[in-house]
Amino acid sequence: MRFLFRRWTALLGFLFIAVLLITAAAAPVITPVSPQAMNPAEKLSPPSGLYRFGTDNFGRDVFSRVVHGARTSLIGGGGVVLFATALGVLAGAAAGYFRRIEPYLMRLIDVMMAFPPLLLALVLVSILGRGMLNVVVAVGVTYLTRTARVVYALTLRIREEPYIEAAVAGGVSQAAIIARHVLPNMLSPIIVQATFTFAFSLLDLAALDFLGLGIPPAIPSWGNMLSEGRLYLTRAPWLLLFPGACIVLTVLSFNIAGDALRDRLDPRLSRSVEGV
Amino acid sequence: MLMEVIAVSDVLLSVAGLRKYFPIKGGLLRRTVNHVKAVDDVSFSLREGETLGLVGESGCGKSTTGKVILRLLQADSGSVTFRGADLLSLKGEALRRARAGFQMIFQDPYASLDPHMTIESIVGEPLTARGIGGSERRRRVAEVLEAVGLDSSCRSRFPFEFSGGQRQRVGIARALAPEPSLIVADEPVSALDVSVQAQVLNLMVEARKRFGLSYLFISHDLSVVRYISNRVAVMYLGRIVEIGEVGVGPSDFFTTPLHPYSRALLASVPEPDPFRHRTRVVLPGDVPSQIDPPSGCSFHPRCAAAERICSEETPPLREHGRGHWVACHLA
Amino acid sequence: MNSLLSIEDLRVSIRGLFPGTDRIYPVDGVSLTVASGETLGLVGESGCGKSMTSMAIMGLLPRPGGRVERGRIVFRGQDLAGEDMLKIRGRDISMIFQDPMTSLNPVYTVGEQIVEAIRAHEPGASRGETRARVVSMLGKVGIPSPEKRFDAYPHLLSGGMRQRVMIAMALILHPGLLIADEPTTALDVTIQAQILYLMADLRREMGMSVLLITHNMGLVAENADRVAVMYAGRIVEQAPTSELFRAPSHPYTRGLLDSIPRMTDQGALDPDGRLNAIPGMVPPLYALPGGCKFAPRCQSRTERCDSEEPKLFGLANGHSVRCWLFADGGDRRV
Repeated sequence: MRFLFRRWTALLGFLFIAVLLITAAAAPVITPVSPQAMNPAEKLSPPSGLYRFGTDNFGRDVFSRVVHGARTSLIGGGGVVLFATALGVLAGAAAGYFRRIEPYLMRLIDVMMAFPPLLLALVLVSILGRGMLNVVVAVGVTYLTRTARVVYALTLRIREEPYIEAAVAGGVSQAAIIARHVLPNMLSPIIVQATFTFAFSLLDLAALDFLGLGIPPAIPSWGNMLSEGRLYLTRAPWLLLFPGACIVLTVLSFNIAGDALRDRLDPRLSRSVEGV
Repeated sequence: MLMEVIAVSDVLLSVAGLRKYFPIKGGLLRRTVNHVKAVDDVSFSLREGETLGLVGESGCGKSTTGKVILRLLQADSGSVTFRGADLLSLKGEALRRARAGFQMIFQDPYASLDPHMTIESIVGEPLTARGIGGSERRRRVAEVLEAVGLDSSCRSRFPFEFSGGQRQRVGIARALAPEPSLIVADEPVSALDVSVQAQVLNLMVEARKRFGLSYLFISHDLSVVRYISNRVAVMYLGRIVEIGEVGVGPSDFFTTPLHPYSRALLASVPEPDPFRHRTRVVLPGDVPSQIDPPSGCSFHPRCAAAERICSEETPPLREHGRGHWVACHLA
Repeated sequence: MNSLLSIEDLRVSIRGLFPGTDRIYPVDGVSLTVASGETLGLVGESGCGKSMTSMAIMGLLPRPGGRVERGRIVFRGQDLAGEDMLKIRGRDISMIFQDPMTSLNPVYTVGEQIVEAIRAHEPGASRGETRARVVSMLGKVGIPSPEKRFDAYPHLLSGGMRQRVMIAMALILHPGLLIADEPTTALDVTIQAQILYLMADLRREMGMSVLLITHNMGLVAENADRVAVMYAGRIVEQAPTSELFRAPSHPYTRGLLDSIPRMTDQGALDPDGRLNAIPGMVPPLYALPGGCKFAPRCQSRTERCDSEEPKLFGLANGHSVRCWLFADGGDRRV
């Protein structure tokens, strides 16, 4: 029963992610209306046949902005994942493999983890300035520490595995061992970690936008929409409802997908009966 | 006489004064406060085509000895001579190339195979590492898989699809692939079910004949060691206390063990024969710590026959009759 | 023979290994009895159902998914399916496991853990008195300076000492039946000998019965009064120990005994000096053969073995065998 429920939620999660990806890719086809086009005559009109999600205070189509915002969010989240995973794997594996740099690297990472992620990102953005790339880097730095810790722990575990010893005994070189044994055996936990990074970074990106420190307001993003829409909370709740719902559903879907992947990829968790 | 001449000239591996201490770190500054004396002055030799059983209880240093010989662990002192070459001085690329000559079979048939690799790439890996690829590699992999009794259709499958016994066959095939002359087998059958153990032991005996191998067979199971070995070395707290031959009349180690520890060890093995009358020797106490082994003969606190000299002097390994060596003041 | 424990036609099922697969039956139609003061050896290889049988007795089947499908477990005349199970478990039936480290809680001293075992069944017991009882029990199982060891944490003890602590905990309430599941498998041979000696002494002294579960034929030969051999969830042979080793009858039992290298003679070897290995491997529980479960590996199988599963046929001397070879002479049937 519980298992069936989990399977259904996982399916819905993956389904939503698929819809989101298609939406982001085909945004101009889905909504021919430009997200920037203003129509002051129709400003703050509620959802209707013409404006499915209503319009905002400039008369821009909320549906179109939500769809294009999906693009911004996915690119932003994807950028954070790439940045955090690439550097995190590098740092974690280096700390796990080269015992001499391990204390320095891992203590640095501990210090970075002592800051609340959003605060760290805020500080970095205020140093780097606004703009998509800077925001991605700022949020990415806060997440690379988590990936690095996971990879560090994995490296320590995998390098002690008997199959690594067997490879050494077989005369396999150190570089080949890392490429053929260590990295492939880390892949699934890293993928799982990446889905969580994506989900949480989406929230941080939206929060930065909301605080006016993220992506410039001209680019439609869910966070920006929330930030602008909050002034009209009572008069036009749809301004908050639709981008808000998108953030919640996307984060939820990626979390569920991450859980499902973890269960699927980790043989110790997918084994339901032991000791037969 | 003739036998001895052959024996001397055909030494494949000789180990002398081997020592491996593991540091114990303690305190805030992680300084070395003491050592676990895992292998302490171990010497023995192995002839071409011979199987030497290395037995002892957990923590006696038998596995560490095997790994130090194979250069999977760094020795602290001593020498390992393999085919006349000094193994302990090999470095980097030279060591990697030399590894083809001495291979290892591991205890755990699950953890010793990379779960993400196919059987073909697991068995072929030591070949790839030596630059053997293509059809030569395929031919060699097919040959060793056939030798361990696995169908060649298994090549593209993954370890999880196999039972423990089949995985151990894969592990043996991997060890055979680079055509070694020495295989260190570390408890190769102790993780297997009884009915599968015999299959794997038979296989190892066949492989020894077919490929002209020598085994250093590390095990805690004396009956298995008796079956497969030509000679036996008994370890206790990092030292060899007795070396004897198997199955040669009155000097057989199993009928006339000389060291009191060997005698207790042999008497402790339960035999599937309720009619056998035997003298129970139940050894008192636990194995002492390897950090602070007892003075003199490290077995003396558990030994019923111990005398004063036993706690004062470490007995050297001395020959008692042909090929039978024992480290005991009273033997 | 007055039986302390009797299991009648026990069938246990657990969930399939993967979601969506059928239930599997690790124990199927097992009947056995343990008499007062007797040691019954239950032997077999991994996955034969010997441990699952003991879990069913203790009411410790894996949850969710494990359940008794059929059969009864009767202890001192009481059906253990009833509510009384919790009271009986731990007091009248106790258990020791293979791994003495994972069975002890690392954050409590060994003394506290044994005291807790007492209090679970005797809530009124006074502190001072229970401590004295535990200390005396620790002494009885051969732990030196038990007064001091009472306050030791498990990780400070060696494997052999931890198993002694487990035995003390299991015996503190004077159970009628001790289930020992591979009690010495994790221990070295010299320590194994100590523990088995101790168990035999305590059994005589306390007059309890022991269900000794092991894969080691040597252990049952030396420690059991009767032996039941399990294969693929079934008992395939049962006999008094001397009878079983004198005349092993089931092809599986014979194969098992022949495949073990011996310490004393080389009788078990074939003419080429090879061990007589049983060919093939134990079939997985989700793909058991239709007839006799051992048939695919059996040297003496007939057509009947493939199509029809044999019953346990009774022979002389309390010996019974689940094999068609022993079906002739109908009066021998049970």
